[in-house]
Amino acid sequence: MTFMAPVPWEADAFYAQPGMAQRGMTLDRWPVGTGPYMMSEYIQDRRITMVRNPNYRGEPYPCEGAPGDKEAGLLDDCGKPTPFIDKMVLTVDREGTSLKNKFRQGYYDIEVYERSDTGKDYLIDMMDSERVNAEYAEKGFQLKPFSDVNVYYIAFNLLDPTLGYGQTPEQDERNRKLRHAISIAIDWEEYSKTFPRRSGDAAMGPVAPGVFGSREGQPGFFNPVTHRLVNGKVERRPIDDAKRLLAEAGYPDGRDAKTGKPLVINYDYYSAPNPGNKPEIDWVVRQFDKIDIQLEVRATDNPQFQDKAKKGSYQVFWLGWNADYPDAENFLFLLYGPNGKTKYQGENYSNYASPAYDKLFERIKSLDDGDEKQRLIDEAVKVAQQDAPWTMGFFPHASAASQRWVKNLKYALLIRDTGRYLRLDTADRAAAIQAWNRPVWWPLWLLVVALIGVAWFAWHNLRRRDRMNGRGQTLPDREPPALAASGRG
Amino acid sequence: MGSYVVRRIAYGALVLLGVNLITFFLFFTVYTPDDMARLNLGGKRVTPEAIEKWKAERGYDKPLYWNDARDGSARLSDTVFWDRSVSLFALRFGRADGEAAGDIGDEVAARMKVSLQLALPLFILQVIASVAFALLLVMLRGTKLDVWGVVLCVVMLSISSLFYIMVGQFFFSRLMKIAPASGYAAGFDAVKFLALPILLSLIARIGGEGRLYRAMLLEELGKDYVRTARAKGLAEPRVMIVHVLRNALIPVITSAGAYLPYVFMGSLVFESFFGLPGLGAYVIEAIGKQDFAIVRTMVFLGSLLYIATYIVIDIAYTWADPRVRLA
Repeated sequence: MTFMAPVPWEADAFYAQPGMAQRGMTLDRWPVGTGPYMMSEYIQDRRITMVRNPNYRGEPYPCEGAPGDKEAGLLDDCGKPTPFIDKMVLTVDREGTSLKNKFRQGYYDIEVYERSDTGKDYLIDMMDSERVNAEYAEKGFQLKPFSDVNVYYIAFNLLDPTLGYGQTPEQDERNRKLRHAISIAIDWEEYSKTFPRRSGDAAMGPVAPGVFGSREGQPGFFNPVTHRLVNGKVERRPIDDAKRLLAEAGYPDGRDAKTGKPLVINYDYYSAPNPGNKPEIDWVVRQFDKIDIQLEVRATDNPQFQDKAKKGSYQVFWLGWNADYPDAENFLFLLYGPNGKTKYQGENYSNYASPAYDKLFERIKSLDDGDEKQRLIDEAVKVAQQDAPWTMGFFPHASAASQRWVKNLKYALLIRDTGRYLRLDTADRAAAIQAWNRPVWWPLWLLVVALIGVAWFAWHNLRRRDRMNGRGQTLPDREPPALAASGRG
Repeated sequence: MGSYVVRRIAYGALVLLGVNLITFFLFFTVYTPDDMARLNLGGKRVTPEAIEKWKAERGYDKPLYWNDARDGSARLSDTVFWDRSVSLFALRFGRADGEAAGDIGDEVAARMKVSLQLALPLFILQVIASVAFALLLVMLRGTKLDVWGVVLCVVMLSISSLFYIMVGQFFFSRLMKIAPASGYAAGFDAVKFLALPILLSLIARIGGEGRLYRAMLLEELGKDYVRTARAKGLAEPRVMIVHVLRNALIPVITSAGAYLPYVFMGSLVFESFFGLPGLGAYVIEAIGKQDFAIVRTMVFLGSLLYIATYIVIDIAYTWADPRVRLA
């Protein structure tokens, strides 16, 4: 499911005609629709231009919004016909530095149109430098961070005999304690501080904040497996708790109590180590090291990981999920038994299969939002917390960078039609671009003078060499011989 | 010379066959068509049916090298290798692997124009500037300017082109604000987007080229005909430009000619950093997206251009030095 809008069958039949795809005539490149904009230009990897659709049915700007929208001026255009902008030009700019420079110069109104996480870079720049902080504040960049409906997590494959379901109830319990120990040890609060570009809130359950049913961030809600209440504040359990659980699981000091061999666990990461991700991989290794578990990093790519998932030959892995729609079901189904990856090719990569959880999920998925659904979600989250198929991970913060003259912009991962609501203060934009980009010519003149100096020096040397004799002496310029002639006057 | 050229073309065809076989083997060993389908379909809800459909749409649903299900020559010809090889040699590159990507041939034709806009002026300016710089150093040989010129060359050739790009963009775009940091516009507007990459590429290469040409010119300077020219009373610039440069052309042609394929294929680094939609950027983007249909095509085209370039260079030798005979 990658396309969320209804597509009429005629359109599907049109694009399915033989030869259409081979000639690049696909829905992506030649879209036909009834929205506020028409794609007038598509140059692959370079530019997409959208112009106002003159036949658009017209929809008024909304008059209701989420709490805080009115105060933020997001409802000022209430009732006015949309869209407000005649033409949108989306330029493909793959090089991060030049993209940022052009945004800083005001040439881009929105830094990255389709993403909502790149603004964090600017926030970090502001924290790192007073000068940059002052520049961004003066220019009025809009960088406000917000939560979005996605989650990253480190999880366990429950088909693995060491970490997953055991042959006996005793073994099953020991393995669960091992998962609890690891879940405590992976300190997601520390992760956010160590990697501010990927910062977020430590997850207490699988459902992202902002979705009905999620209790994330609410007072009194936490994961009792990984956290505890101390003086009314939620804090991560101490590492000694994790070590105790590890010993109860049969691995005191990270060694198998029976064989004395160290406990080695394989960690599948979806990309080969590179300077960009190596610190993160090392960080995960350090988390396991805190409880004396040796982590073997098996760097892989998506096809290789999919292959392993198909065979079930993996233990611990890193994964993320962007919601398809804002419903708790779209997160909870990631732990639904019949959705198991290895057996059923579903999205439950943990291969978690709990009859209690599955029963709750089956009721949740058909219920409308309400008290009953909330109660069932709470129960399902509790079951998942106790069984710990995930270490629960974190909900990343989002922040998108836009200029001060872009009005009515409100980002969300699931909202893909923000273009129709946007309004621009073009006078402010023109003035800002002019003020921010006054050319500075003097270094160029300095360079020209320097080059002239070098050229003169070279010419002088050449002249001197021309007048040099075999002994290295420079001879004076000779006067041309005078012409002696006589005439008849 | 005709038989020589025919022979070289025949050798070139064999080299192309080898390149095609090796690249096909390498790409399909690293990633099977199933892997490619998973890569392109993304991480969410990839069903076996979707994988089969993706393969069928792109002709990857056949066996790679040998089709046991067919009879006779069809066992060989009804395979992915055969289909892909025949279409490559016929310069029909087909559809890219990516979901939204179109026909590779159309893209190559459109992007080659951009690459040419960057690389052709650069190629001409590069040869002129490097030779002029080397000539200047040779004329100033033995002076402090020559010594410092050589030191400058060594420093310049030791620095990565990435450094020039980053410093150039920072200096000219961010501080001085006299050139755009990246981007491209068609028509005459292209000049303002191409000026900075051309200037920086020129600076990045002039150190190495200048030093190389200087050494070649100095070697020529010790020869008898130079002494004769000076004995006739010719001025130093005339000796250098008319006599020495003409005789030093062969190594200059070899060195400059090796750059010719890039004129068509584009510069991977400069096009990527300056957001120029040329063939170099096309390759980088294809590698990034792991679109092997594009990468294989570009490797094939690169080999083709290299072979053609070296034939042209050999012919140019006969023009530069009438003593050279191709047989």
